[in-house]
Amino acid sequence: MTRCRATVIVMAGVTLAGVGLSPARAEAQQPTFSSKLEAIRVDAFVTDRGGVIRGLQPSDFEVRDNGVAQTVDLVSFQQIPLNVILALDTSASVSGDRLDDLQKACRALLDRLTKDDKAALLTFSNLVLLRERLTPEIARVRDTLEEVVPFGETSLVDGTHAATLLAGDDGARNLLIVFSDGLDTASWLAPERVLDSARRADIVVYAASSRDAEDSKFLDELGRLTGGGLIKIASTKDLSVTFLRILDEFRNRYLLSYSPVGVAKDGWHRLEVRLKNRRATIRARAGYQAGQ
Amino acid sequence: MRNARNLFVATPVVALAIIVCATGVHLHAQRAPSAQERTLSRMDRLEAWVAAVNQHTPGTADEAALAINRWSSADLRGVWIDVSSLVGLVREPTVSVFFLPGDPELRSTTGGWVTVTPSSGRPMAISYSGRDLDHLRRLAVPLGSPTDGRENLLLKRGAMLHADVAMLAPADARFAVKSRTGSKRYRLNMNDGQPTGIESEANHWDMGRRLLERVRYRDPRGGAVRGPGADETVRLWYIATCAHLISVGDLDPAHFVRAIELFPRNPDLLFLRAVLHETMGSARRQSAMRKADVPAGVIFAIGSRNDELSLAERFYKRALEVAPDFEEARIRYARVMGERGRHEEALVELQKVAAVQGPLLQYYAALFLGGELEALGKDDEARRAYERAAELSPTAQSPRLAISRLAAGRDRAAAREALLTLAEQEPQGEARDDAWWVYDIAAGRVADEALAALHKAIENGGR
Repeated sequence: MTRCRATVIVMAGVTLAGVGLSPARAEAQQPTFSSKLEAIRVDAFVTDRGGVIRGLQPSDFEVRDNGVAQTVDLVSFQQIPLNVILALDTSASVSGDRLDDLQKACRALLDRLTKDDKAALLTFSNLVLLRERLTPEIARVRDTLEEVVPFGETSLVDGTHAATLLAGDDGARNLLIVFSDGLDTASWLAPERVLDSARRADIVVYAASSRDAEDSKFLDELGRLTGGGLIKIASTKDLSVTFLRILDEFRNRYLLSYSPVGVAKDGWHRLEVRLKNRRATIRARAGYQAGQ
Repeated sequence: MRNARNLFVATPVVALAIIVCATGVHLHAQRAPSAQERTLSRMDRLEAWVAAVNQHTPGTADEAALAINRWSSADLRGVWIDVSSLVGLVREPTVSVFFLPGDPELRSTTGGWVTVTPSSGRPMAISYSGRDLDHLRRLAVPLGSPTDGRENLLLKRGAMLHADVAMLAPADARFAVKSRTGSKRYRLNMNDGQPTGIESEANHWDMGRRLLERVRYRDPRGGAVRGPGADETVRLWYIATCAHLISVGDLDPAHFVRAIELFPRNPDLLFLRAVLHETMGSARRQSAMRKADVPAGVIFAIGSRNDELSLAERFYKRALEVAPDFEEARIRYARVMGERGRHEEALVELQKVAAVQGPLLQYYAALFLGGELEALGKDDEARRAYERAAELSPTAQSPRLAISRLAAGRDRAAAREALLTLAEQEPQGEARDDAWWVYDIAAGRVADEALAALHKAIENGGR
């Protein structure tokens, strides 16, 4: 027998190969930086003791941009189509039942999208793989989902960064759902810089993770900064319920819009959103970056 | 070795399976005879070992290696004692009582991990019955006189055999042989940052090290007796085996610690020791260690991320003091400093290797330079460094993602474009490669070459 190093201690046949973003081509888009000072959009989820508060008007909201009160327009959440981006951990640990559960949850979510909505699919192991750009052909995304084969390690931060860039600039509301069961073990990008990029994007990020608090810091912070959230799951068995809950919550958010006045054109703008005349819990992005 | 580190790592199919190894030495535990002990007498076992050493072809898992692979830790301990006596007999043919030094242990000190002989590890007196002593003398005959040095070759060939067992023979067979005595090696397996189990095995690496500890030369001109630290083959053995362990992600601190104790100014070993600590400071290994359910009495020699990176920096620095032109050490030294938040210093080091040769090191240097410049807010320079990395490795995703991230803050269209450029390149999907993913094991890529040099040295008499 000759030397056969790779077989000596191999655990799970992890292939440290393969890279890339596949060219799931769709029509070219003309993206622009959407956090322009001309119009700032803020997705806000408004609840009171766990229940969604509906029927609010622009005059009910108080939005402060770096402490300066702004005049709010409100766009009804029911009228705006969604861009749903799925960023899925497909490292080696997501195999067998976990993969089945994940695919099932994604199918359930895709089935709930309307004809005006779009979806995109990106997977990440050590390889970040763009499988479908934003497309109204939901069935295509569903089909592509079936082709996923788990392998390798986990580039959570790299994958999340790539996924945030898929957000559309078509006026639809961008929802990114990140699923990961793994600690980031292979990313090049630094978490703090990806968080910095994410907070500049017009996108709300929800994450579902089965990891402990230490491993979920990045996703927790990402959710907080973008006005989404992190949902800790004990197992993937009920992942469909989790994904549908995220979608329902997102559909029940208010889309506020305002043209900033009395604030600097550049830099980080801290946002505060509250109701003027009643108590409520409001989840919205923490701020936005303007200019350079 | 240093000049040979210039090839891109071929796409390996290697799981980063083992992260850290602990050594347990149970000298005074109640003895329980192994299956091997029940079938072989003490001297027969020694004779079988000597035969296996002589029959073994270095670099193979031949029959001799597979047979030794089934021995328990108690067998190895027994054989080590008797080999030691055999070597003692060759060197001093008139003795009949032999002494063994106390077993060293791996201990933590303020300077990291070192091997020490505990106060309880007093030299042990080994005596034999008249019949066994006669047997021992017969086995010593082929090893010649004290001045021949043939016993050194036996020790080196023995160390090679045990290294080949550890590297090449099926581990399952070792896991299956349980023994309560002797030196055991505990392996914490991991997958993607998750611990997947701990297994114990007879410690063939420890056996190899112990054998080499007995290598001695008397200067033919009447000088002092010199130990293994002066031996070229021992040096090759440590370089080759340390490189192998790095290349397969099998991090056994005791091995690297002893290598540096014997060869404190060898730049290759200082470098490999630094790589060990840098790797142990990585997120995946720290996470697996944090979550592992470690049996009572077993201690894995792994510190906190900060401690490991501190040790890595120290050993890279020492390697560079000895060999200032060691470019790979400098690139990694810079990365560690960057990981510790010292970006200005890291940048200075990376600028010293601007002319580094070889695509792999050029790629790492450009990628890390981009990272340090980015951390310092020098985005335009960072982008140029990442573009250089992307030129060197056109399908690698890391520099492309970094370029897109740099653009994301001010021009999301450009950021997306950088991403899609990667998406459109050939090859696509899983056929792509990024040397960043194999950074932890890339430093061990010279293992085959180093092992070939070791085999040659042993075939040439191990001198």
